[in-house]
Amino acid sequence: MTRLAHAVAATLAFIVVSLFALPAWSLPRFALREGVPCSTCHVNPSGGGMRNAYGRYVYGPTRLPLGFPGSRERAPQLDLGDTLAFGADARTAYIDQRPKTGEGLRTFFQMQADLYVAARVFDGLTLYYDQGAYGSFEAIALYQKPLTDWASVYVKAGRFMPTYGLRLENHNLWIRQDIGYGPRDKEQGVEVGAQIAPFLVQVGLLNGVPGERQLDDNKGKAFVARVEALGRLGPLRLMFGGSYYRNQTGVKSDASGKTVDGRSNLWRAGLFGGASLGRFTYLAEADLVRLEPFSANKTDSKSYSFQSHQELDVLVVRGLELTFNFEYREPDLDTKSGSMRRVALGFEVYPMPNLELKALYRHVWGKGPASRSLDGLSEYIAMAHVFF
Amino acid sequence: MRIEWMVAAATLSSAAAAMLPACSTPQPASPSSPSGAEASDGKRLYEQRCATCHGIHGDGRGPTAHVYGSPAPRDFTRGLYEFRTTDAGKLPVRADLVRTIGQGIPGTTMPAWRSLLSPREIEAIAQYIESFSPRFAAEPESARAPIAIPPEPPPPSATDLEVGRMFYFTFRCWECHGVYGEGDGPAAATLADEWKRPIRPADLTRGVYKSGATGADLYRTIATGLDGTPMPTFRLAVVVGKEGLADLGKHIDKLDPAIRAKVTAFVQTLPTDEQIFALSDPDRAKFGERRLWLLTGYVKSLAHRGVFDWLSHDPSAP
Repeated sequence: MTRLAHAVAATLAFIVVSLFALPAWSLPRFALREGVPCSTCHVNPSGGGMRNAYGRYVYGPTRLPLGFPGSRERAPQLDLGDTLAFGADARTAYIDQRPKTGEGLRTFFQMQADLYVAARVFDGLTLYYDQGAYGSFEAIALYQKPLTDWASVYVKAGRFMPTYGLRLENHNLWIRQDIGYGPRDKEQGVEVGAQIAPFLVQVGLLNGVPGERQLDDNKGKAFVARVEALGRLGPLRLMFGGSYYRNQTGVKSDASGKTVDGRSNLWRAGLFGGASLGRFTYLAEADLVRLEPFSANKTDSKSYSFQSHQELDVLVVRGLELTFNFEYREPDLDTKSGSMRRVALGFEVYPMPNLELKALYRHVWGKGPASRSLDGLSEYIAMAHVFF
Repeated sequence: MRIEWMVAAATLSSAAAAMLPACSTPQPASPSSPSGAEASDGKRLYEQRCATCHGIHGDGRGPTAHVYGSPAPRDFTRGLYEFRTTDAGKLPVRADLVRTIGQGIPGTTMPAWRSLLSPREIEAIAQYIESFSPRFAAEPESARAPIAIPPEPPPPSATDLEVGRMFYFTFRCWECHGVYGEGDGPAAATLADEWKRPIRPADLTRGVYKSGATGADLYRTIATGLDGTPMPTFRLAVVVGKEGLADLGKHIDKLDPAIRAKVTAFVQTLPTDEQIFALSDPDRAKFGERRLWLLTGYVKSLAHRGVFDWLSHDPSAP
């Protein structure tokens, strides 16, 4: 396949993604604002998905909502003793897409509907299942062992989203879906992590077959590694880290997970970080992806793409947050087929515990043939998120 | 040296303590004690809301305890409580636990549960927390008289603030809290709590106080001290004459000479022990209360919040 064909395929994939994947905003800002790891509030040490008891009963209801005096809304208490716990996330959005030319799209979209159950088999061992909308699921056996107050280790096996970069809930950011971390890009394998404060080191061995396929039909496996340092310096919270993903024997898919002819090597690397001071939180990530299809002449067919994301969140009062996002993407650094910039402005309100409302405006500027179809695209998005 | 000074101050004022009138300020009406069913509700609520930090056994070693670092969650098994209306070393009364659970601990991760839990639920949790320490069964609440907190006087005048400032140095608050109240005094770096964990004195300029920000809250904190921490009780220590205040401590050389001279001169203007003990019991009690309010007024005046403080404040924090 020629580089131009790759560029066209990537652009088509991007358009599909833009039409049917909606933002869910990011939550690593909570971890950064507090200066604590995702596992403080989530069952999964990599963050996302079901919240643990602290997230559900302490942080969520006391730190997120506006907190009208006298209101005593509370989380549904569906736990069965200390053995079984349940949770859910449901996000419903209304999106109004207005391209520069052609027909727009105005539609409701159930972007997320996940039901979670976590079963504590014995102290340290948890079985976790997440049934998502549209057939997506995660199933994990997780063993966690605290070593000291500042060190712990875990082993995770099953089907899950591989760790990488900032686990932003907004899965159609260019640093997520475009590099193969869309909502359905779950993989099967094993992940080992060690938390030695302030560092979190995670290493995974995976099938390297994201998506719906259950079995790996090639001999190689994917390797993923992520290192994060997260800590406090007085009132300042700082985070810095890097990620690496390599699927050497590859799969029949491109960087966005779309099936293409021939196998390919895939390589992703990125840096991320952020800082938080009081009501201000800044997050950033930049990723480089190399896709190398198998062909007679490998050198010619390599393609590199670059994605970056920056985000500034301003917590006006408890429960009301403003967000400013800037994304930059170059789909093919070799052919210089184009570049895109996307700016998002919006706000988020938690009027009461377990309810989040969002409004967002996004606009895309594109340059070059690979980006022409998206140039001028404006999006107005409203979303309601119920969670417990 | 600091402990020696505290012991000396306590000794000097022990006679005054014996002569102080019994303090039995009525407490705010608390909800009636939970029934047996509600007590089990307290266990359930505690395990759901509190155990992740304070531990299922109340030992302050829940799974989230270490994540936030300092200050560590309270270990309820020792029966040592910072926020009380009772004298230093005494257990708190139930209303103290209810107040702390309800209003949270500003500046820490302990949230204010009154927005989510009913008064009876908070009472049930408080009752359950008491079960972690055998001291509560051994020392009935009737034996723990809360101290008297007199009505707050009118806002302090400039003269009152200056006198309060002199007491701030005389009673050596500055050794931990710093000359300007920024928590950077010469002894600040050496402090540890009862569990031998390093602890930082409060930065009084932030206007964030762990046990509440009203005048009465600050008065109570200064009067009773914070058990389990190096913050001593001043309720009796302030009832002392200039003889007991002549030694300004080993850190006095680190104080600006101009302030030092002023403080030394101020001490000389204070009444003697003999003059204080000559007062009637009610007058001596009022004397101590007056000093505590002067100190409280000055401590409160240290709080100032500029634009940077507003910008760097996390409004979601307790």
